[in-house]
Formats: sequence, structure tokens, C-alpha cells
Amino acid sequence: MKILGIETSCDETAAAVLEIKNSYFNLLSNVISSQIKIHAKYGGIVPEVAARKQIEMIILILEQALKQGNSKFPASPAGRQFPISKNNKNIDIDYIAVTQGPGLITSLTVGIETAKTLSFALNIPLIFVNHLEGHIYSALLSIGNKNFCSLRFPALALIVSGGHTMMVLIKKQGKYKIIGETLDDAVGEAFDKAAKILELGFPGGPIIDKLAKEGDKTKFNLPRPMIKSNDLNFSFSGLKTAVLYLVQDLKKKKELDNQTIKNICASFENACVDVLTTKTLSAIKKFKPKTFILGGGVSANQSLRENLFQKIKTEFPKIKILLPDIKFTGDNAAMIALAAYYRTSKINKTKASAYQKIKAEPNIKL
Amino acid sequence: MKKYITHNPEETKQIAAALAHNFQGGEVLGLTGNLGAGKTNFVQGLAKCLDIKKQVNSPTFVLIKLYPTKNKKIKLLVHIDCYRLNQPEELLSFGIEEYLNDKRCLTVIEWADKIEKILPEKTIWIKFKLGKNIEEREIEIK
Repeated sequence: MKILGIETSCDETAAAVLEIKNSYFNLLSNVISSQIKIHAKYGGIVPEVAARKQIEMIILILEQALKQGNSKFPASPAGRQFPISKNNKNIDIDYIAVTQGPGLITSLTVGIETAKTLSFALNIPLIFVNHLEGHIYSALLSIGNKNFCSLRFPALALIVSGGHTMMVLIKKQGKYKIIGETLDDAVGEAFDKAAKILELGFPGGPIIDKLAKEGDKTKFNLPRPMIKSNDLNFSFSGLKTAVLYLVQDLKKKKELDNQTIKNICASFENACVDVLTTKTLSAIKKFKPKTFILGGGVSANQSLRENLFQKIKTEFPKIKILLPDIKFTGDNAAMIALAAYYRTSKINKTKASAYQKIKAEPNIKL
Repeated sequence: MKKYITHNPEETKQIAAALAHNFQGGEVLGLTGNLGAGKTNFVQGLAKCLDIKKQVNSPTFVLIKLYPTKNKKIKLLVHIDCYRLNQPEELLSFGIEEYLNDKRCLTVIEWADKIEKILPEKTIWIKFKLGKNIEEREIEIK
């Protein structure tokens, strides 16, 4: 079985071809057009720019993913003609998977309408995937070509990105329960905003990660919001404000030199990692999962990965810890294709998908 | 013009709730002020007054978040964040005009000064300022 995945929920345009044979999978291609360079100019993401760029990119990205995936569709890449006739024997894609939400509506629509068009023209069933579900499965992609059905339930997933910070309990395949989430800013957003306050550029995550390595995390004692709250919710807004006051103060005293900035980065990162790790450990204690999964853009942060791994390993040695490969931490289409695979058993292939009724859902819940 | 000093996030929420109490629907609130000045907090207060159970958190990433309510007059809280925006016109592609003109919506916009030119006359401007200490905030309602 081959699944073509399409992901355009925010600033990335991505397509991937995933092959599944006898419960083993093989990622044939995974193409991402990172638009970071364009957005960097604006210190953020510009929705119109993102969506317009995606419209320009999507067919090229699809072609590349299909070509690298050695897939027979489209039939004649040279002429760039998609086969219009249904039941074309040259098509070996069994399903098309696309992100439905959450995300920016203008960006989501690009991927969804492209997927619908392909599904209609080529008579290939369409599967809509929640972006967050994709991040949950992204850690499985790292296992490579081993049997991927090894996910043992219940599983606990921590999703950390620019738009999300949540803890999800998965009792069995497809059954998700959000047991904790951010009450204000997402952790990736806090990284971006702290970087902005420190005038370091965009995206803030990788910059702070890098500078923090050269800084002293004990120099500034920043707050750990909600670390002692008796629930699994997060708050990062107050931490951002604390950085703001600290920077203002240091600027006044003319003490904001390069080393001090590095120390602030290290102290800030340490506060975030501390909160995320502490809450994860309480969740594990409470729900006793057999598997822990990390996902989302912030899971590329070295300090977070190491800290979570060490602490869980020490306190709960029996838990299987799944961390995504760095290349699968950001938005990608391989995770969308894999998440869709778990739905395929429930889809009646002979029946036409009800795609006409489905549209982008920017605020969709897991 | 009214001016308030709040001493903690809870007081900021209370001011929002008191203000929302008199709303009839169709209001547009333009929030301005620096990072960490209490804007999202204020919106959480509005949501509480409208009895919205869903957690209201930062819309920076998706730009718009919608919260349906069970309120008789205000059926939808529209939470917009222009932090990442560059041009006001970019928001028009999201169809925000429909919300701005809808009597059943309460539209609240963070970093509203960035899109001032596309906002209606009726916009109530609320300015947030950092106070003397980390908890204190100044809120000015026009």
C-alpha cells in the first residue's frame, strides 16, 4: 500500500510517499519546502505570503515527492499532465492523506483543495488527518523500516510547537484525550517572543537553543509558571514577561552584553525544560503509560530531549521513550501519511470519499 | 476615557468581565500594548464573563480563534492576534470583515494598532501598559 501525504498547515509545503508492506513501512520520499528564509524578514509568518507561496510550490513539491518515491503517478512528469481518466493503471497510490487542521486557514486550504482535486480526478480515496495526530506519530518514523505496530498502549504524548503545548493520553489506537494544555502561550511561541525581546531574530527556537549552549543557566532565576499547580496544564506567558522585565532592567543598567544574552537564553530554556519535564513526570506517575512520545517543532531542542530522556529513564526505566529524529520534528508530510495509515482499515475504498463536504478546520480539536 | 491600574492578572480579567457585562453584541475591541502587557489575559476575562468553558489561549499562531457562547446576545467571541501580521490587508483574506459587521459577534483584536486602517469607527480602543512592577498593569479604555 502506498500513501501520498500532503501537509500545508502553516508555513511549510510538504509532500511524502509512504509505502506499507506487511505491517512494515518504508518512507519513499519526504519533501519539505522550508519557507523560513522568506518569513525571517518579517519576524514571523505572514499568512498571505505563506498561502501564496504554497500555491506556487505545491505542484512542484508533489512532483518531487512522487518522483523520489518512484511512484507511477503522475503518469508523464515530462509533460506535467496529470492523468484525468479514472481507473488509470499507471496510478499506484492507494490513498491521499491531507492535514485538515489546526493551522492557518489560508494555508490549510491550499493542501486540502489540491488533495480533493487529485482525489476527484484520479478516484483515489482521501483521508483527512489532524495535524497534532501527525506530530504524535512522527516519533515512529524514526524507527525506520522496523515494524511500526510496536506502539504499546496506553501511551503518553507531549506535543510542543509554536502553536501547541499539550499532553495527550492515548488509551488505544485513535483514542486521544487531552490531559493538559497551555493556558496562554505555546512553548514555541514563548521561544519566539523571548528571542524577539532579546532582538535575536526568527525563528527563536533554534537561535536560543544554540546560544543557550554557551550560556550559564544558573545566572538568572526565572519563574517556572504553574510547576506546582496540581494539574497538567502549562503557562508560558508569565515567563515571557519575566524575560521582558529582566531585559529592560539590564538595558537600563547597560549590562546587556553578549554573554549576558547567552545566560538569559540558557536560563529561559532551562525554565521551559524544567516545567515540561516536571509535568511529564507527574503525568507518567498518574497514568502509568507504557510508551512516552515527544513531538512537534520544539522537540528539536537538545536540552529538552536530553532532560526528558534522562529523567524518564531514571524514574521510570520500563517506559519506552520515543523521540522523533530532528528531521521529523518540524511540520512534514510523512507523519501525515503515517497517521492516515492507521485510519485506512476503517475506510471503505470502494465508496467515494465524502470529500465534497469536508473543508479546512483551523481550530479543530484532537 | 477610563483608566485603571490592576495589581495582578486576576484584576485585569475582572475589568474585562465588568466591561463585557454591558455589551450588546457587535462590539469591536482593539487592544494595544507591548508583549506581556496583559492582552490575552484581558480576553480570558471576557470569555469568562460570556461563560465560555473552552480554554482561551494565545491565537498568535493561527491568528484567529473562535469561541461559540451560550450568551443570548453575543453568540461568538472572535479572538484575533495581529502580532505576526505585516499588512492589514492580509487579514482580509481570513474574512474578518464578516465578524466586524456581525451583531452576534464580540470581536477582540490584539496588536490592533497594526490594522487600525481596516477597523471600523466604533472600535473601542484599550491600551495596556506595563506598570511599576512585574504584576502591575495600566489599562486605558477609550
